[in-house]
Amino acid sequence: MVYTREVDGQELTFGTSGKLYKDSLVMYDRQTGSLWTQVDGSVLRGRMKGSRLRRVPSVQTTWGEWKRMHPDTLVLKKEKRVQGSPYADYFADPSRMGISGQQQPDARLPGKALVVTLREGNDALAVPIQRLARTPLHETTVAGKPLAIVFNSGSRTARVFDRNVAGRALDFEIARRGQEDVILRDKQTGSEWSGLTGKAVKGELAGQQLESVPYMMNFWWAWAAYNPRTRIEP
Amino acid sequence: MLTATKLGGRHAIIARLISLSVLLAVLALTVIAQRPKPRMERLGDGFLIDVLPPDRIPAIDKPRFVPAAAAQAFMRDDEPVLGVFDGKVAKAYSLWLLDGHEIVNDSTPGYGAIAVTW
Repeated sequence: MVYTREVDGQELTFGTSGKLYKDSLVMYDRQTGSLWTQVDGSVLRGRMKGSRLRRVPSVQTTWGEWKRMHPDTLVLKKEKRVQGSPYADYFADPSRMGISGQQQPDARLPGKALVVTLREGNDALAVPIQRLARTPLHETTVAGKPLAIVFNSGSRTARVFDRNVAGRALDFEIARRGQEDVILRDKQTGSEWSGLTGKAVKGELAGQQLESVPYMMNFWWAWAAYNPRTRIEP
Repeated sequence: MLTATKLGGRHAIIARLISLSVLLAVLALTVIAQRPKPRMERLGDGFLIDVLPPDRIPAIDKPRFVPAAAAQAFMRDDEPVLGVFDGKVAKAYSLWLLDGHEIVNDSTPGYGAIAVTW
């Protein structure tokens, strides 16, 4: 998850607290020492209690896919060689969840199921990746906001877009499913859209851009521990 | 089971028992003295637990970036990344790299100061 570091006019810098809450990362800010959860950007303890970090849209994808979407991208430099993940075994093992026995808070899905998660106020939604892999477009509403979740199974990339364009909510269907993109068509104008970039590529709305919405890709157990009343769709 | 025959008499048993209890007392005191502050604490509807000292996993505070063309030597096409695009500038953060840092304190022209967390 990406957050803005400016809170109530103050710029914060974050470090790792070495603590976990509900078995997920807890950060601290170097200005007040307050403890912040990574999953929902809220304060567990400290002077900033009551504040919440504002989320910034980000995309979890592969380097190859990101370069296709943004050929002029910059990339964080590695100061030393890093290849592969030390958590590879953990990711692969369906029975290993949190380290303190935060095992399976909500049996509606397997704990290690990957889900696209969204939250707006008290409305939380999880959409399992496995279902998106079969049907790569899911239209929904979160806290009244009309959204489209698009999934490209080749690179396992999810995008979440606001379906509001110029004052009206569009409804989409899948026009074509290619190797590198999912092409959508809106039912209102018949324009075609890239599901990967959210840009209209053909038709009356060509050139229009859907607004990106912040989401996370989580293991179900980690999200459910923080958001017990999550809706699961479809 | 301790027996008198194996230890060679009653005095030997008593001596062994005394030295054993002294050893146990020293061990217990050592453990109590070294025990860190509580490692697990109930907070709200969850537990806050101490796993590592603060900053043992070092956040990246001065991130440096290169263009995609200069990254061939250290980025693989199938490498997982977190990507941010603020409307002007696109930035990618390798999740393999973030496994060892968890936080990047960064900024972009459109969003200002951001924390990339993993």
